[in-house]
Amino acid sequence: MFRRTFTLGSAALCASLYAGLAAAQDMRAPTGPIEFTVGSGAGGSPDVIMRTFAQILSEQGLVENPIVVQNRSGAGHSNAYNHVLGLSGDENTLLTLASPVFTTPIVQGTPSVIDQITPIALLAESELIVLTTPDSAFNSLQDVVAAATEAPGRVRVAGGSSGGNDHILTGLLETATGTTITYIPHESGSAGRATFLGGNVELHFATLSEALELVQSGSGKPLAIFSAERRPEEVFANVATAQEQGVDVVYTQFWGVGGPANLDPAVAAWWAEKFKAATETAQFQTWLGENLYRANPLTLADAGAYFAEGQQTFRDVLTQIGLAK
Amino acid sequence: MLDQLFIGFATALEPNNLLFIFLGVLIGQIVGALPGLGPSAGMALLLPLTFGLEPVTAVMMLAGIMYGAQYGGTLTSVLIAVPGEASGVMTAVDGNAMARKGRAGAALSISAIGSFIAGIGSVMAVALLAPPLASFGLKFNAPEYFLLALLGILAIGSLGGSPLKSLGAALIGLMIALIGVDPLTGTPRLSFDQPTLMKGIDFIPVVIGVFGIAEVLASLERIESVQPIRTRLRDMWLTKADWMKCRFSIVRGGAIGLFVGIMPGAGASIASLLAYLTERKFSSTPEDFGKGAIDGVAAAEAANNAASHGAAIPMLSLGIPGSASTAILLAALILHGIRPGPQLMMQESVLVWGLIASMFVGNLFLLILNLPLAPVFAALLRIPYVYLAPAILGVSLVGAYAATLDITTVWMSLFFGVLGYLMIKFDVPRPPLVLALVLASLMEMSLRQALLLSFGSPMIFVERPISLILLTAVIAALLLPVFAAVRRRRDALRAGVGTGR
Amino acid sequence: MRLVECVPAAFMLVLACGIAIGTSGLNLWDGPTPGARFFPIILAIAATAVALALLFAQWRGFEKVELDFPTRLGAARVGATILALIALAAGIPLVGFVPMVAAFVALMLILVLRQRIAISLMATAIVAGFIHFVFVRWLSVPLPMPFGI
Repeated sequence: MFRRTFTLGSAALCASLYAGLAAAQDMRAPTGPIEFTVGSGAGGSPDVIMRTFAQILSEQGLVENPIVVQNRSGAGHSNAYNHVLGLSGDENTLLTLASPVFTTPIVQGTPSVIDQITPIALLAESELIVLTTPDSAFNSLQDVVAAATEAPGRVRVAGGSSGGNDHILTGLLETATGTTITYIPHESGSAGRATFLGGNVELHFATLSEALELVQSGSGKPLAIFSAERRPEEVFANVATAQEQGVDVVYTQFWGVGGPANLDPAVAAWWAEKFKAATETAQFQTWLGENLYRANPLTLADAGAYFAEGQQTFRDVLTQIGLAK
Repeated sequence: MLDQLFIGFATALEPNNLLFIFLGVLIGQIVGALPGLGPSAGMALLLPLTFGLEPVTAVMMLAGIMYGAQYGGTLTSVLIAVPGEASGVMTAVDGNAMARKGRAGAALSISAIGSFIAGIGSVMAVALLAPPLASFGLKFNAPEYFLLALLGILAIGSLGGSPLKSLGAALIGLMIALIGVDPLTGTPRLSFDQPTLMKGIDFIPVVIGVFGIAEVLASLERIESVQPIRTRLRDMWLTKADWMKCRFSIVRGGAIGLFVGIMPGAGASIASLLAYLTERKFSSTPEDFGKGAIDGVAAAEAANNAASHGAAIPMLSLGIPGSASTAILLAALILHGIRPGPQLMMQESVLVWGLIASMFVGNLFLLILNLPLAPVFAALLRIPYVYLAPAILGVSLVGAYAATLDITTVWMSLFFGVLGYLMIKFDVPRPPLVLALVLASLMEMSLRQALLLSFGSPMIFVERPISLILLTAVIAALLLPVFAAVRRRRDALRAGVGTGR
Repeated sequence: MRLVECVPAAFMLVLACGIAIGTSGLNLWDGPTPGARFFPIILAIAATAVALALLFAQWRGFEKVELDFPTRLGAARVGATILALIALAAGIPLVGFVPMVAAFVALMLILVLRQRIAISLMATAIVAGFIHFVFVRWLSVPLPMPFGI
């Protein structure tokens, strides 16, 4: 294990290598079966991601312990995070971190989850694209901004759920351009997509893999991508970033994993190592490519800093759109 | 089209796939027959079983679990009146009433036949008409869903004997559903800062409590006089008269189920409710409804199976799941590296057509499995009720827990068990409460979404053609009973009879 | 009409009041669309109307609430069952799901329903075995089991 880490050593990995080395001295595997607690139902993206990781960790022989992905769904992931928060120091349960884990406490006025759990790893990021209906007069993000400036609130977004990633992004867009956009929440992302496909609204935010389908089948017209750079894929190469179009918004959706509060640092370090190793496998890279996600393998304290920053964005935007309690 | 279907059948009939379709429907049937576990909960629990299979085989097996659980859910609905999903409520009322008359076998047989015919019809629609039906389904959105839900609530008012009591029970259900968080914004509502209440009131504990536990409590009162249900063999089978009565119920129920199933936002529960109520209008014996009407059971079961297969239409042609169970099917595709979306039917035609063909095969397996076994399952009711009662209570609570993994569900089930018991004692009908609870969030969400879409203008309900048709139906549903009551009153007065003391 | 027959209508009125009061901090209207309080208030009004109509109909005799109260023995049995269920729920996190259900079934059969002990224990074993094999072994549902069973 050490040898492989060292041979991989490149300048870019130096920082995390050092952290890995420091932790390597006291790494300890948990014993017994492991539960990955997921707050979404079976089929939600957090669920799919954790099942993929569980599969890779077992199939590649990285983790010997049997892993079960358990859906403790409902109530904005609070069933899941309250379960894990109640297991202080437990070594056999990990919590999946998706945006509701950050936003539900802010919306409901309960203590932050991220501040309590032990951060382990950032698993994947997904860029977001804004689409409009194929026959729409909008051809760029500027057209949208112009329309929203002229008639505040007249541009409508069919969204996933209140406080979800697309709602946050709508809020960021409103702040950056000084406009008002009507966000219409739905029961789920796919319910929002049905409203969009039915031609009832102007805009819809989608992850790249969702957008790929909509663009290729001609049921959606991409206007902008909210990342720092354009995507290399042929379908998206012509989609300009929001920044290129003069709207300073960069936002990515992300998923991570954490342990209960007071998790033994040695166990946390062991998990961080395993997840990092999983992201380096060919199996993971293939999966990443299929889903057009992005890897950003941060672990432990680095991941914690990333999560804290994400939480701050969520809190700022939710306060601005009046959802924070 | 046809050659694709042939390729699909060639795939589905490969021995290996055939085996897994069979295993899928068998396992689904068993899991669906556990109280509290319906198709979606069953699929979520069994999803790991399909890992390591080829994608095509995995999806066929998972779909088998889905409709297998739908068939299996009929067992608990009929035998112990605990439906696994909201779409089984009507079956739990009339099917269970039939079982108490010793006709459980007939109820189960007609359910299997109805589900089979409607399922096959639906799959045929999927095979032949998926893309046009999917784009038709997209014409339904927030305004239509609101009116559909409203129509459902008004229809519920005519479920029981007394419209006032039924509406009252429905309103209680709607009010209970408010507890938790505001479905549109996610802000806490009526939760009084209690984390338990903030989770909201889930359907499963309510149905386990109001139906399962309440029923057992009421029967325990006079356990001495509860005889094991006498089941004579000739009552077990479907008679020719039954079949003649149900032929067209199945067709009508199936058509309604398919129609509702293709809408991405309305579920099998609305389908089975509307089918049941439509059937009462057509039935030669409307007075039997609620007391064991076999045509009601046939229509409701046909509708919910048609709807669950119909939900495959938006799923396969748009990548939008129409129900909790199709969402899990989509997840299985993603887990196997297949990207669902509008191009799925073209890019993965072997998989899509294999899945469609497998539904024909799987439904046939289920029919063959269920028909001979119906009397066997019905014979379970020969166990003295004294022994069944504690077992039903215990297993129902385990089922409720398994579906949510939350001990709160157990407490909620108990609370609603006591509430349901009191409803029996105070002569308040229970099905309206449960059905209204399911419709509540659809109704509230879609009203508010509709007005967001129209920037606050109520004209949206009149401007959209389908919405206008539904609005007319709602107004008719509101006014007709009033006219009827006025006319009855006038006739009564004319006849010189007093209107009561 | 007896006073106790008013219970269903009274329950609705209480629930409607509770909802009107409990949502007092929320918005009735929120921009172009109804707010979090709109639907609750509509329901509260509708429930009040239906409850009053029911009371009126009962008073005039159009509508009857048929009470179906148990005998003393029956009521005692139902009360005991409810208590046993509460004990079951309370004991699950402490003792485990399967043992608590087993204890519940056994006690119900022997003490409440007065069945023969041998048959009762056999029935208990069947139920507990069924739950263990189906839910724990086959479906691997993580039922609470502090003592490993």
